[in-house]
Amino acid sequence: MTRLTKFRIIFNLLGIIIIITGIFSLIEKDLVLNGELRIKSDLTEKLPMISVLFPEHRVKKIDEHYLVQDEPIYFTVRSPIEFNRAEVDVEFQNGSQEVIGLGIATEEEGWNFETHTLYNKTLNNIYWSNMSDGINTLYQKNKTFDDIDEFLEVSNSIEGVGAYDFDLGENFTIPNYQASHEEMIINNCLRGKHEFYTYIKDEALDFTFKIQDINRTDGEDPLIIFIYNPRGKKIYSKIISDDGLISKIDPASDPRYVSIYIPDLEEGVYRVELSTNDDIFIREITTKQQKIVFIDRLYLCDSKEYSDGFVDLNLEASEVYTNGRLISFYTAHTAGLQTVSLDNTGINIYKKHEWIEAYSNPKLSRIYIPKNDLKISCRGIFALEKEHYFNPEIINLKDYSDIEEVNYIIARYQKPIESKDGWLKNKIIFNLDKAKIEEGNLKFMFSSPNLDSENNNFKINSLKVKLTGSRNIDPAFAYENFWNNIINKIKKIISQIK
Amino acid sequence: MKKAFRTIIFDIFYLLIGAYMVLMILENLKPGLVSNYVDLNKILYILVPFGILCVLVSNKKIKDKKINNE
Repeated sequence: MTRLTKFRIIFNLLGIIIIITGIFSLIEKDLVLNGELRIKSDLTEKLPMISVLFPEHRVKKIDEHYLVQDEPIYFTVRSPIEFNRAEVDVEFQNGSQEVIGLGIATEEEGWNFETHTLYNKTLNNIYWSNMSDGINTLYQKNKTFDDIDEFLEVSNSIEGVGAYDFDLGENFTIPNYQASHEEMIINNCLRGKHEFYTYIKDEALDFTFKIQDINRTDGEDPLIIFIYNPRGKKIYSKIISDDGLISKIDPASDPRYVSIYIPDLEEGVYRVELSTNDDIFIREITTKQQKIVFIDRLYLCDSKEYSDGFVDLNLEASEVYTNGRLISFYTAHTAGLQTVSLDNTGINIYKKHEWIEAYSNPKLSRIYIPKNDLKISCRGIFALEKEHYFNPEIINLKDYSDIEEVNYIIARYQKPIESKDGWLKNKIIFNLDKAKIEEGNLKFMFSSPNLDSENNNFKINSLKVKLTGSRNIDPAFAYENFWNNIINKIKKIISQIK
Repeated sequence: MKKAFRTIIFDIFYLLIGAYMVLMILENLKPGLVSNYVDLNKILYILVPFGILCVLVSNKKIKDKKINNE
């Protein structure tokens, strides 16, 4: 054997040992025997364990950070084994955005994400006393509790508890509510799609809607009614087809009455959705329910603008009560130009086809609308009579409003920490029990409303993800499981070839 | 010495090809096992120059043989 042959044998053996060691170290890494995986990305390059932000057209790469111009945007993180918990640290700048959320794809059917708040300007600016347990924050108007656990023990029995992205494990109830047998008539004319909450206790859900089709646009104008129970489950749906007059030169249709009667319902808040277009006018609502509040949007149409279609409109001024803070007004017609009173402050609706915004006082606000023909929008609820008002969203605040009835807010939220150069850092912890693993990846999503490429956007500088699972993984079991999976895969491939 | 150099170059190339193939097979059997930690394209960046080097070396070998024969 020559010296060269000896050298070659040793060299090749060494090479093979290095390769085998490398492969085993990859397998060991992949089995995550210590139950913890840390992934870090400054988003400058595509890494095997974490993707960059996508889709590309919704983000813009500037220097070493991303500018997010549209939502939603995603990133994926490889998950070689099933983990129990993900901690996602984000370094970002909110720009002009008031709320930024971060979600994780869940196993539920369709496009479903469990989203938590990364940034909330309003919560950051609450001047109340606050305390945190690392995940949740308790805000107290007057400090009563010294820790969150103490508060949660009694949260069901004290008044004025609001929850933001926090499940208090209870349904909203109105203490001392009693069913009434008297019929109530809401004779405000409402145009197009509306949603409202109503409260049921020892009574049937009983509504009659008087609807009319003004036929201002071509096409059919159906009305679809959905009703959801206190747990958010759809319990009723009904389609009311068009009356047959579908052309825009057709006259307004005759009134039709749609009745809904559902007995034997559990106590709680029911959401009624009237899904339709702006050709359908809800002229009257007759009900035995005492509490009705509209969600996010009202379109009042008792205006002479519609007198060509309906001769019996009630052209009097309307009064609306709302807990919303930023309120937007819109009219499409000259008849809708007017000065609206919001908490006795005049808001001039001076221009058609333009949303005019105003802030209300931090309490239940009164809006006086002299001429109607106005869309009113806010993140909150509207009541057409003060007696109808109740706020079922208090146990699940979609947005925080400094309303009088809230004394405590428990939120799954941490105020971000300011780091170097004005970057903010915040951490969101996800429980991965219901997380979807698609092709070995966990999928995360950033969302924030009303993004655009000019002023309304936010920046992301870096991401850190810590995945943790069970710490007591038996290496023998993990390796056995790994080889079994590989052998099964090989068998499957062979059977496919055969 | 020249022969030894050529042989070693070829051996390294075969080892790299072998490693690449094993990694590819493992990646196909368990997606993510390799690509989570190693960029397979980067192995290609090493393999290709080595392949070229091997071609050059073997051409030189053939030429040397021809010269020797003549």
